[in-house]
Amino acid sequence: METVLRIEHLVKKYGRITAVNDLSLEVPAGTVFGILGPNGSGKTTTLGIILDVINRTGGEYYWFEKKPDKSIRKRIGAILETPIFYPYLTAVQNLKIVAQIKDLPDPDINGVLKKVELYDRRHDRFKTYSLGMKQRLSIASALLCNPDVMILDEPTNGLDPQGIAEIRELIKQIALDGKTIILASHLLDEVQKVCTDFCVLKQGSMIYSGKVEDVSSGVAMVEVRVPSGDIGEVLSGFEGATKVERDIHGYLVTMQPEKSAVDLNKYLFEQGITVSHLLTQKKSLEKQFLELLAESDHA
Amino acid sequence: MLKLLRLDYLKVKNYRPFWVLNILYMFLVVSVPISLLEFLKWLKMKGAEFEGFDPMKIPILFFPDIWQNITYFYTLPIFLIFLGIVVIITISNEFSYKTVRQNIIDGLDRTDFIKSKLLMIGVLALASTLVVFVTCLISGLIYTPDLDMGDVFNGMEFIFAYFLYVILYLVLAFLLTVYLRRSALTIFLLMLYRPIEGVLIAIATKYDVDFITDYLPLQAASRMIEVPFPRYWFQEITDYVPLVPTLVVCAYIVLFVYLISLRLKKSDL
Repeated sequence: METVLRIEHLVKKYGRITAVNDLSLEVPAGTVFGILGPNGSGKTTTLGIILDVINRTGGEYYWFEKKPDKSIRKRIGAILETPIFYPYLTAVQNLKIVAQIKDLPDPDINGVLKKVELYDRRHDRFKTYSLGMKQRLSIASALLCNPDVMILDEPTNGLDPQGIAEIRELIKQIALDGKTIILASHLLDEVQKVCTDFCVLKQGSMIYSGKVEDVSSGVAMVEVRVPSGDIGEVLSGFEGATKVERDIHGYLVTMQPEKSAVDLNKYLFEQGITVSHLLTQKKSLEKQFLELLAESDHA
Repeated sequence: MLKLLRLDYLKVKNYRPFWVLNILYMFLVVSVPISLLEFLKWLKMKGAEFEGFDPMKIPILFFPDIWQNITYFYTLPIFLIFLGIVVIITISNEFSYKTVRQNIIDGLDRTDFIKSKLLMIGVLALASTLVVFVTCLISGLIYTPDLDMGDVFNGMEFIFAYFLYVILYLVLAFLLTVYLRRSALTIFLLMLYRPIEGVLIAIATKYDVDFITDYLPLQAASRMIEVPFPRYWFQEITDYVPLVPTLVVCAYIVLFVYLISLRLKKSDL
């Protein structure tokens, strides 16, 4: 599979602070690649470097296996942080500027504005827009060059639930067109809902990388409740568990891969315990994410 | 290059302050010969005696004197600051709106950005030079009593000196903006800059090293167009554009552009 972006040992230092620490990753074509991390973990800095607005301290990156230059950026639709436009210009005038920079002879400005539902407001100045409209205008601007790759940095930041749903729907549609999307977010839910692959950054280092479906399907947790009594010790004796936690109503047992609630139920029955409640939960990305962060603290 | 020019045109086309300031500057340019004439009329009315000489006959607005007289006025900081503010606000906007960052993300590179702003400065300088040239030409044609075509274009090198002066001044404004980024502060510093040179000159003169003052940017620039008026009380003046200051000005333009690109290439946007 073609690699859209390859980052090798990227380093960015601000004085004594290391914002990006020896980061290497690959984004294959056709994926929706999520970069997950808490605020200040180096997501935007990394995106800033690969878009040439931030100078790197060390390392290399390649777009389409080539050394980066401006002609490649013209084929990328990207938004970093907040939507940036000339406030005194209208949506159409702003997009004309983008088209001029990207060398688009015949940009479909009305088309992209219709797609993000800003067509009716196209002759209003950018400064009169609400935050949601501004976000949508940046997506329109990123779509303008019909890009092979889109980079979105916190695209749903500050939006209401309906706006968030709309933007996510838009991202899914774009992904269905076969475009590669790189999405930075601190919202796990968002990454889980729209991404195919993801990595986790913490303090500028990558602490995890893999496919979303793998994490969502792999490990299960089983909620166990008994009518009365303390079964904590009994549960700890179960070989199929990696972790047993006490919950308000009962126990949460983290299962080893390959093991399931059936094995647990059988074991408890053999121990002479009958349960009143047994529920398998797929471990959410959020839980795993928090665990990863916690683990890297212990490391 | 035409592409970059068009890009900056799209940016300022609907930006009202840009046009207001430019038009104000144009008014100022046109008003100079008119107010000079009014001043002479006023002198005459007041009956000022120049050893029995009619002030209206002082050839301030006559060819060939007019080129130096009037371009001298136009290069006073009080006039140039208008163009300086145009440059400062259009460039500092790019930093405060962060649009320079988005421009680069969209596919410009830092050199393109610098080039596009230098082109804008070039166009501003050319346009204002054209206005100055036409104003001088028309005033000269109106006021010169015995028109001798040979005299008309004699001294036109001052128009060229004016052009260089404007370029230097605006590139200095660009430089200050790139380093300070805040428009109000930059405008303030640009206004203060000439007085600062004045202080330096005073200090240098005190310690008898005033030869170095000719190498200060704006001092060198003003040496291109010497104060012309003492010639009307029979003093020697430099009534041509001397070579050395012109070269110094060119060298400063190159240096400033270099410092601008040094800063922009190194900084995170």
